[in-house]
Amino acid sequence: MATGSETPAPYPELATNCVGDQGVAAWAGPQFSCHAVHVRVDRETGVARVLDVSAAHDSGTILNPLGALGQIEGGITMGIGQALSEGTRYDDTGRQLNPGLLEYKLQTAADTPTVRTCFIEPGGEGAGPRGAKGLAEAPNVATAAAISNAIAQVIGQPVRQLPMTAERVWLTANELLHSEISNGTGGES
Amino acid sequence: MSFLIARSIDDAVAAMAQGARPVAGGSDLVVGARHGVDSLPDDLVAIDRIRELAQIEVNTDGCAIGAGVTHARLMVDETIVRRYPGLADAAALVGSPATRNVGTVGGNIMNGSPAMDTGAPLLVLEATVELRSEVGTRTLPIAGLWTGPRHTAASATELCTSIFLSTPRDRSSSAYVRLEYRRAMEIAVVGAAASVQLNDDGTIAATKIALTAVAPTVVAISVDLIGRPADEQALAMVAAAASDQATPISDLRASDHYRRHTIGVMAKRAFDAAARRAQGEHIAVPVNRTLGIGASS
Ligand SMILES: Cc1cc2nc3c(=O)[nH]c(=O)nc-3n(C[C@H](O)[C@H](O)[C@H](O)COP(=O)(O)OP(=O)(O)OC[C@H]3O[C@@H](n4cnc5c(N)ncnc54)[C@H](O)[C@@H]3O)c2cc1C
Repeated sequence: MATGSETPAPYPELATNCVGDQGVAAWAGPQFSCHAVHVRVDRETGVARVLDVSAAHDSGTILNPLGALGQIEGGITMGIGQALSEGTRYDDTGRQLNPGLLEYKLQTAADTPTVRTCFIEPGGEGAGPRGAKGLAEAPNVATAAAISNAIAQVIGQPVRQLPMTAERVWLTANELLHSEISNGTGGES
Repeated sequence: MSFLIARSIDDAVAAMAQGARPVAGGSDLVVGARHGVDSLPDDLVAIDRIRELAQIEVNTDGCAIGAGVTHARLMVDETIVRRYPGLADAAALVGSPATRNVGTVGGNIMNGSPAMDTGAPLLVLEATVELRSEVGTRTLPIAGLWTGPRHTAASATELCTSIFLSTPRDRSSSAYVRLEYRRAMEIAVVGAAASVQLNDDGTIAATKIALTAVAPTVVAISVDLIGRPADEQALAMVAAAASDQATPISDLRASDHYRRHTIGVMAKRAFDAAARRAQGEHIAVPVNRTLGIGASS
């Protein structure tokens, strides 16, 4: 790909081949989203639990409502795991210490909160075919940040590392984080 | 390589005398083999279809729980929930519904993991364990069963047949809580059980506290609370004693430092729930969910 800076060429209004505009415009129509979460933190242990999530998404006209809803709920569940429990860990030689699903902790069905989804469908301005825009990874982008903000509100400062494990939340709440985990074994995400 | 399905305790101990390993639910044995903890034994005897092992018998002395009773049954059995709620608290937290449906209390204690959930409540309830081999039957206090991580005082030819719990005294109860990072498919990061017996004036007549996953085996700790009210000060004493007497390690799940802190929190919560139950308060099984431990709703 090229480097440098310039104003990109305008997207083709309509390509002339058989697949119409190739869906390219769907990428150009920016999608916006916002997540709000309700989190409970056990202050004595640092365990955080997400009780409710509300998700508002502008993905243009929703063509497949059930599929889009599933995408949002799945993305949010993944985002909660990213926020609280999922993180690969390695030893000094680069071997993964938690290669199985007992130690690499995904969120389970029992952990999954109520998710309320609201699709904002503002019409097809700048969007792709039939007014659709992308959805894809957007449902997974805001979740961890929202959870982080909520935890920060409870304990007084943000946890600056993902996943925000119970131990890290507890250490941060007690302002011990930097002295305690400077040994570099923390899982990065 | 042989696999025998035992129909009776006699069948099972005969096979064990020939070198076969018992398999109940297989949720430790098979999973351990898959993860390279141990290789799968050459000779196995399945004990999950032995009726005598799957019974809970109650008489005036107490309650004998067959080694083959599953966690799914323990957590809802009326006698267990009413008289020994700490054991039901623990059974209800094991793994997932699937794990609880196959996993047995006998397999849990005989596997000997320091993170086993039913161990600490059985210890504070002063359980005795019945072991049977072709040579005979013996009983031993459960405190003497675990000799190290994944090691027990039972010989390879001894089948655990039942676990006996005495009838609880009046104004007594028990509870078990654990620190967990998620609500299913979890292993205790740390856990604590307490039994509390109260005097008529509400002061403590007797108490026992045991800890999960902070030592090479499940361990009992000592804290002198006799004659005191079960108040904030007692809770602080329990927390301090648990944190002091634990000897935790650091691993993937937690640092030793964090375990030492949280075991104090768990011990005081277990003690508090047991004391409140002993006073007659209904705290539904499992305490973890009812009291929001692990920040559950
Ligand atoms: C996904 C998953 C989650 C889990 N979560 C938890 C948890 O939260 N808490 C917890 O404590 N455990 C947990 N476990 C471990 C396991 O499920 C329990 O320890 C269970 O109680 C084991 O019982 P079992 O009948 O399956 O034992 P098995 O695997 O059949 O046997 C375990 C060991 O005990 C021996 N044994 C079994 N029965 C007897 C007997 N009657 N006499 C003598 N020896 C015997 C076997 O030879 C073997 O060595 C989990 C396991 C899995 C796979």
